[in-house]
Amino acid sequence: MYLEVENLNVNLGEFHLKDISLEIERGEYVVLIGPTGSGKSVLLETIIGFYQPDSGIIKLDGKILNDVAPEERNIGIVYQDHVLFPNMNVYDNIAYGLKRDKSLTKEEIDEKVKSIAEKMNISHILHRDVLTLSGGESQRTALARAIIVGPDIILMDEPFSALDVTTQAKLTSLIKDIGVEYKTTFLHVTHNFNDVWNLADKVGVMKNGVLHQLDYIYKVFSKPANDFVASFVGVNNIFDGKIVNTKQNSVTVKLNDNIQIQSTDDEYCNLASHEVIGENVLVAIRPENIIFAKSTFESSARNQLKGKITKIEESGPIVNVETDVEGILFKGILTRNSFENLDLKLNGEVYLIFKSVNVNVLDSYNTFKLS
Amino acid sequence: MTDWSPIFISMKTASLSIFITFFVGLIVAWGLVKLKNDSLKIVLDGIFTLPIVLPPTVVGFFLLYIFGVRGPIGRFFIDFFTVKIAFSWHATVIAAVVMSFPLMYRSARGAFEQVDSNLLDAGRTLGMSEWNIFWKVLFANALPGIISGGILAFARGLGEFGATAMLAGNIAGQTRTLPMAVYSEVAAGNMGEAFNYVIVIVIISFIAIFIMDYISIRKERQWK
Repeated sequence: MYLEVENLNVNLGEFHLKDISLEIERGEYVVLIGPTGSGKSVLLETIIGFYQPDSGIIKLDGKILNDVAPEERNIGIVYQDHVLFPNMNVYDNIAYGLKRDKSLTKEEIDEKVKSIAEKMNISHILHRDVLTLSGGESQRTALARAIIVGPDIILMDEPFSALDVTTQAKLTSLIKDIGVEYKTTFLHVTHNFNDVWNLADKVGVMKNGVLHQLDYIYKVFSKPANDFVASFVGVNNIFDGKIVNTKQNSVTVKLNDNIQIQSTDDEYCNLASHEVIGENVLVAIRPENIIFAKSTFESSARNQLKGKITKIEESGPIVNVETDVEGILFKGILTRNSFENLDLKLNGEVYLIFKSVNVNVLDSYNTFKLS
Repeated sequence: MTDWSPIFISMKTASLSIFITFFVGLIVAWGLVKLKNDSLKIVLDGIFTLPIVLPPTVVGFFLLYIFGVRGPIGRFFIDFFTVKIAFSWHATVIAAVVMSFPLMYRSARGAFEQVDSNLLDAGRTLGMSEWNIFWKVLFANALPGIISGGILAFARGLGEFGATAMLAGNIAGQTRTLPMAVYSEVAAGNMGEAFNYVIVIVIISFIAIFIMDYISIRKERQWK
């Protein structure tokens, strides 16, 4: 494992990072998401050495960093507001970090700066005063400055949040290329889910100083660790339930006296019946996994529920539909075309159909722990 | 005929004192900015600022107490180096340094505190030493404030009177600086001679202010 954080605790008075553990492989791109104040930036600044942990270990490539000064960790950082040196032009900003290596001649530094500038597409602005740069140009310069010194890992603290959408897209593509070319390891903090889809190999979800889950994207989005992660990553349908039956390949969860749904959640299917029957759990269903139909039909989907539409919200090409099924509100999403073809109406009847594989059963212990 | 020695003594005194004040002021300001203990910071700031708040004669009294022939440092210099500090040209420099130090220190500290601390952190993550970051990032970005402080301190050293009178006296050709000369000539009823000295002081002071404003305006335009 390349970057390892073990049981990290940081007490900053009003804010604590609590028992954070994470592992990142060399060359991996990990994105941390979470609401404002969740501790993402504090975690980055602790890894880089601006905060001293109260307990826990930070290891990079097997070396413990806890007592290593930030300037000796060889970890780069790119900030949201770029933090370029205003007293230097673009060239000098990029070259600054190279000057620590006294063996480099002026010509070698010049060659390196020009080479990275070409990759970053900023060769034409090397002479410019950094205060005259656009947001995109500043961020490219900041990235070039961080990469040129060959850091073992680059930490990115909301690097795109001050940029327009077009510039974000260009930089995203550039970072992908850089990651491949330099085999750079990235730990990137963001609020923007697009950064997750576009860049991440793995995604971590944080709240209140706790890292709730860190895993491959599909796992976090399809099998969230708890109700917070589920709701944060857009699983709008999270219901209390009780396991009433288990078979070899499925678990039946009772939501109320009239609704039972089936799941093929591996974790629960693999447990012996007596361990889980009667256990209170949460079930989570992503809204995009619910199919709307005017009548039931033969299909492989094991869950078919009849309900009444209680709310319709149109949002561009998407229509959000809320359906009351025996007192429980299910949220689903349709395209505008499907919505019009089905001729769905407020208070009209509709069938909700979803596969058992798309029903995740969450451990109620996590919910208890969160609350 | 006008005795021009006070001009040379004053320029010599102000030049040496600003050289000392500039570097000591910078280092002390940097040390205080980095200091984590707030209580100690307040106490030290009070001590370093005191000379500008106290009447110059009171500062001169303390200096005389320390550097006088019976003072601990004054005695030490006489015993070990056979150098008498009080009522010598060195005393004019000491008085100018002590009186101008707070201006340099406070300006430098204010200028350092205005620099975004993320810039220093960025320098650290690039592997640069604290010393390099101090000169290339902190000092460079605080330069307008530091230059203002330096020029104010130079002007203060040039115009120093009360503490100098107490510690260095008013010995013609040795410790008689321009302000001393103005005072002496007026006391002797030589208004014409005093006027000549006043003109010189006004010109030097104006040039100092002009340089300070020129640098500030140039930096402001550059950073806009």
